[in-house]
Amino acid sequence: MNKGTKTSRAIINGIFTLYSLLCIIPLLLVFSISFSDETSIVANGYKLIPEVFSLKAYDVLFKDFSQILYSYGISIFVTVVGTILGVMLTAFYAYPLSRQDLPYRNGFAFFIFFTMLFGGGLVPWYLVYVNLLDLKNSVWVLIIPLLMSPFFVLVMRTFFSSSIPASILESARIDGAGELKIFSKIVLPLSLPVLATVALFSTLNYWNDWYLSMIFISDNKTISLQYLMYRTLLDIQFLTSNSNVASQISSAGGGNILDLPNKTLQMAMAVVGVGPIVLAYPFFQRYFIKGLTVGAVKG
Amino acid sequence: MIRLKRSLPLLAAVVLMFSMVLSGCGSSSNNEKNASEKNTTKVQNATKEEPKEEPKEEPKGDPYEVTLYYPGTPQKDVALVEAEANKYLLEKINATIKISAIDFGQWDNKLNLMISSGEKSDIIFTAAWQNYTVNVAKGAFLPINDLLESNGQDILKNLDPAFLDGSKIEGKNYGVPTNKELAATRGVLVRQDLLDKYKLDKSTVKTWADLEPLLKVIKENEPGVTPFYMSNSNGNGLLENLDWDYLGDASVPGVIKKVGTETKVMNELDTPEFKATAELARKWYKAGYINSDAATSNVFPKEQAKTGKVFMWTDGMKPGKDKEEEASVGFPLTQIELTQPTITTGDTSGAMLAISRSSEKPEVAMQVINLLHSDKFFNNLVNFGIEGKHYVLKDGADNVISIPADADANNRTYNPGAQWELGNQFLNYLWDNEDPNKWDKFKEFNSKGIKSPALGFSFNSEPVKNEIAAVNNVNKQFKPALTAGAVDPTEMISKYQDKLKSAGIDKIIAEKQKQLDAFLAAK
Amino acid sequence: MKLQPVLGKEPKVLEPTIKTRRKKNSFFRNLMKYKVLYLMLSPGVIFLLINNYLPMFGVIIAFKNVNYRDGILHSPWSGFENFRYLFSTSDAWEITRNTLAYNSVFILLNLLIGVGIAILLNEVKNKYASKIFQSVMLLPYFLSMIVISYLVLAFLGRDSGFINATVFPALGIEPLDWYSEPKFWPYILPLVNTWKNIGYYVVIYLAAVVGIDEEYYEAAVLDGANKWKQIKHITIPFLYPLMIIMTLMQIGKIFSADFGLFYQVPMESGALFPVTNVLDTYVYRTFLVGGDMGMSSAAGLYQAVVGFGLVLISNSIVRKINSDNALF
Repeated sequence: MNKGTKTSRAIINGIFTLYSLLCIIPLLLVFSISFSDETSIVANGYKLIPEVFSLKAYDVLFKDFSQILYSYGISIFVTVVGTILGVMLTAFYAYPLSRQDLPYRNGFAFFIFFTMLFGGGLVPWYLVYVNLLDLKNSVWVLIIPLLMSPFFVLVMRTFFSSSIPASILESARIDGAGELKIFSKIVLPLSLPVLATVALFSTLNYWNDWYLSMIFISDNKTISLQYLMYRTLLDIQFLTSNSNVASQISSAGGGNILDLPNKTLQMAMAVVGVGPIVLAYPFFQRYFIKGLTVGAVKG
Repeated sequence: MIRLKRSLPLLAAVVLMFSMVLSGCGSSSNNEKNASEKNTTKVQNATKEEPKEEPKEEPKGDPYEVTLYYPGTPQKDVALVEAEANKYLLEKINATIKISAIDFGQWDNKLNLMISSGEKSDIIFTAAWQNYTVNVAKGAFLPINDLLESNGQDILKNLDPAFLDGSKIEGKNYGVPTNKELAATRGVLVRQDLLDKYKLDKSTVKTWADLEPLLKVIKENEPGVTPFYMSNSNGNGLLENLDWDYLGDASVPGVIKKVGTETKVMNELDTPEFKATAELARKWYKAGYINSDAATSNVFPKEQAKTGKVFMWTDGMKPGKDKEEEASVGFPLTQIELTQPTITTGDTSGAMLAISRSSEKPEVAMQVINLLHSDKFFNNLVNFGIEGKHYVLKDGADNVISIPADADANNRTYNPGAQWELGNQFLNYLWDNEDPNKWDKFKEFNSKGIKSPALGFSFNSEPVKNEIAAVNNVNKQFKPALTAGAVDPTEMISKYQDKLKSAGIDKIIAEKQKQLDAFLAAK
Repeated sequence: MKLQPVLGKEPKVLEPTIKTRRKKNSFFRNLMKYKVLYLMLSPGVIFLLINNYLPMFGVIIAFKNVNYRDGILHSPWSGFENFRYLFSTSDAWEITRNTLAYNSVFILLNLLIGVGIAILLNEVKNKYASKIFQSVMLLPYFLSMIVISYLVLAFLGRDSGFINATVFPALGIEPLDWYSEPKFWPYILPLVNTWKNIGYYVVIYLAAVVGIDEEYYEAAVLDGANKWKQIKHITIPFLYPLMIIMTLMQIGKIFSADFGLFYQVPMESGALFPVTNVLDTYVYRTFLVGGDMGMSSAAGLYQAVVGFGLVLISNSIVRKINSDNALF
């Protein structure tokens, strides 16, 4: 190993360290703001390290936790149920498509593929869910639209047809196993990597979704955590006006000088919302990276 | 191709299924439509052709749930109030009520969604500044003249005819105006406690520009408090407080001067008033008097004021406005009026309850509106909650209320503060901080109002619907930033003007002029 | 389940001959033989019918002058009126330009930076460090657009934003009104998009780079090729197929923008619309904010049709270059 490569390696490592910092600093900033004192923020702006440390934002946030808790519940329910149903639906559609011997399979493939190319647009799509299915303000409308993505059907189909030897299926059939048994006892266990990939993506899609809450939910209750964060970003009052936290603080403070920590409260909401993802991230990112490469290389 | 052939049967099957689903959906919406048509024709028949034959009410059928949507903060105890109201309504008109308040910031979106999806709804708040004429042009609301005759007799009896005349579109009414002050002025609500703290004198303020020294003091001494709060597109910026008669719908361009006799419809961007005010807003913004997120914030000033971080904001004024708002804002307020009281079509239709096209029983909806206008108990129940729980009547008084002693004064569970939206204000109780002569002052105020030359004229936007949509898109891009003072007006106004021209503003103004001239000629 | 009888009837209509009967028999035989597989397909078919195919019939709204008196199906037809209005304003050009320009920049950046970082990262020989870098880079990919808009606000906020309150004073620069100055956003948005998504592309390209057989490099080293030459003649050519697939997939979607990025991150600031309004946000705003169903549908249909055309064109180009990489 010569000197040249050593310096170039140091440079490369330096670049990546810097870039990694760039990825983390914004999160750190939000985190730090949420732990800052509101008056110091108003006077001097956001800092990477709190000038005056304060837990007030969290204090206020936890005063009325009900909507946050409720939205957490919605998000978790939607994510879990949606992911399970979604992976099932995707696998059910992908497996027959992977069977070379199935008549009309190209028709079915085209049927799903075409949806990647053309769509009716927002307006009719919205009307189908609201008028025809009457799902407005229902938790199911947060689940159904994201159930199946054509892309993952194609990825899964490719995996099934390329990674599961036809000979295994053939011999199972000769042994008298039915289609369902073959699918559940042979195909699925052999396909765990691709199932996990689809499940991870699906989890991410559901957890990060705010759009469906935005257009389908009007009662301000059945909203996902992300949408709650969105509303809080636009209007800190969304958290406080419903719960009268503001007045509670003012009465606790004695006079009418109200000290609602608007800016820090906003960021505290962001921390509470993003916390689980960041905390869980170190544990599942390995699988995710693995899954991504399964999808990409084989797909 | 071979592949395609093999999948033909499948495709054929799919097409067949489509047509089945589609025809299914088509016919079901057909039915709905027929049903609603039947409903309305029934009412119309009943009243128009043979007034004798009452609509065949199924008197003891299932009670009908009337949904009421208005912009405002959702209230915690709304279910309790509903339960109380239902007891009363079931007995009176065999109906129940579902009250839905939607935050102001969300109102436009949610209302559009509700209307376009044809979701069942009955009573919807609307106003000249809330796309009233646009929604009427789209057919979102039912014409209510016949319904008023059949089920809204008390409204006709109590309401100053100027309200109903003023809010007509092409001779028809589409909303029942709130019975409240008829004249309108604009001005600001100011935190009294901060005025006192810095010994500021509000009597020195005669024009918008006179507010500046007050704002300066607050800016310098109260970090964290916004001296002059405004939010995006809620009509609370300086530019939205010019002395215009918008001729029925403030969301449609083309204005005339409220005061005077001039009836030439103008593009407000051409006026010196617009320019001067935009520059004032710019100055204030740069000085930090106006909140920096004014162009993007959706938070209604009143909501923001509840946090205690706002010194002053604009609003429509009337006698006792400050005390009325104080109850829901939670801080002592005082008002400064900055324009003279005038009466325009927009003021007569400044707050209305309309009946939605999707209502299944419009006649019951009208009965509920009628009760809001005539039934003191019901009106105050919806506006103030349950007696003994959300308020108590003052000893000896039949009209003055206060917060119950055992209730947490700072944690009000039902206090919508939306009396001006719902029914008849002259029926409302008064909080104990309000002027007991408020209603007399209202009447006096109404009589002082200067009538706009175009009073009674309401623009029919149907012929230029698309241009209005295009203009509104342009407005969204320019108006909030200009109003907030976040951009330099000198270059921005001409850019704005160019875009408006290409969106067809001239056509709208010409159409407005044509309709106005026809109206004036007929008068 | 419903499919069964319907499927059975159709061929008869098409060719009522003896051949059909045989076909019909085989059709039924197939159906019986594969009934489990068809059953498995059915939930997906139903889903696609509801979620994708049924709305396609809604494109008729674009040709109607919708009013709620008559309901959508019975509103009067207006021909191409909605389209005429759409294209008579400058909006149509603006949103088309923004959508295409931003997406092109995104695609380019994803490709260049993605491949660049992947190759560089492959040079980090410390496995542990390489893993950490990879994970950290991927982190933003997991954040929702809502969180991203919080982060951006923390930096760009007018009064307290990190840049205005901490960075600029240190450099002696006057604070800027980021959310009302359109000129910065053509840089901010690509930056944000790349920051969020690059980790994804790095992971994928890196997997391919790692997969290249070491022997090629060893042979190259023997021939005296330096690092740069190795990259140019071995690594990049090996990545071509993947690069084409990844790029094609994005080009296929070039006419639909990332709604969250353009809607959330600029905080819906009207002053920024000239540089942040894209097809998706336009469709959304005209429908939900403006309440103009016809015009919104017209814009949606325009997007769908042109998008469809672009996929076909880009696919046929790729098929010409290398038919294996074409999507269809």
